[in-house]
Amino acid sequence: MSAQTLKVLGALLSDPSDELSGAEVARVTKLASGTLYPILLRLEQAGWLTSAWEKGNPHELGRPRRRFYRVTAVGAKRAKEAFEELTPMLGRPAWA
Amino acid sequence: MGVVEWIVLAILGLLAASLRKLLTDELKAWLPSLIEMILLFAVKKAPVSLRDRYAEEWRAHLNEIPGELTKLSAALGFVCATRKMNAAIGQLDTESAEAPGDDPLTVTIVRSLTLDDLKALANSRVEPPRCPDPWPPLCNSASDGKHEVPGAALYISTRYGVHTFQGPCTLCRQWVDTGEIFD
Repeated sequence: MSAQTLKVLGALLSDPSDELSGAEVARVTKLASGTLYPILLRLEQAGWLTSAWEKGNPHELGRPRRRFYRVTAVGAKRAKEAFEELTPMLGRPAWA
Repeated sequence: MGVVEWIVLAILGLLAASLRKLLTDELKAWLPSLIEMILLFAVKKAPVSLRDRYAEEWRAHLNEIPGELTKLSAALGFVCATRKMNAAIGQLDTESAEAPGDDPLTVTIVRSLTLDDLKALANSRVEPPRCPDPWPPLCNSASDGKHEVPGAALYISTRYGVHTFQGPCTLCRQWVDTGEIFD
């Protein structure tokens, strides 16, 4: 799993509202759109994320609907495992 | 330097300043259209089944970003994203699929067929087109069909690849996105 993927999962897991739009994920992770959306798509295909349209009609909202991403139970479990695997390595010398 | 040169320099300076302002204003006026064009280009390159979704999602993304240059950068990012997304989703590179010609990729648009024809086509193995031999080592060719009926659409796409220099074209992947027809 790449560092960018972990960033995306971390952003989605740490958000109190539990769901973020692509632009919000980009803002939190500071990832470029060219990197972010393929990651979101892959995670969604893998079942780690789920996405849904913002409630409301674009005409009523006066703007395009945002699509919100949320981590699934499977995704949260796998992400936690990945973070736990990485945590002991942090701060340890690379040759240890 | 004489007076004439100073006057010429002053005039040139004034012209450059006004031209710069003119160019900046022009660029500012054109940027939204340029961003929209890039967004549409990116959507066109996105996987077929996801185009509608990303057209709206990416517009909403741009809507959340302040500043035209940041929007431009994000829109260009969408174009880069589509390449990776096409690879991730395992679909045909839409650019190649829409550019028949000298390219070894051959695209056939199937029209005026009945739904039964399309069902049969979806299940049939289409003969692979002639592949250049022995180069390139990997030849991709495709048969691509789309037929629209009121309320639903059937999309058929088949890809072939040559795994060896001399070997025959072999079926790599075939999928059918039936929309609502077979639901």
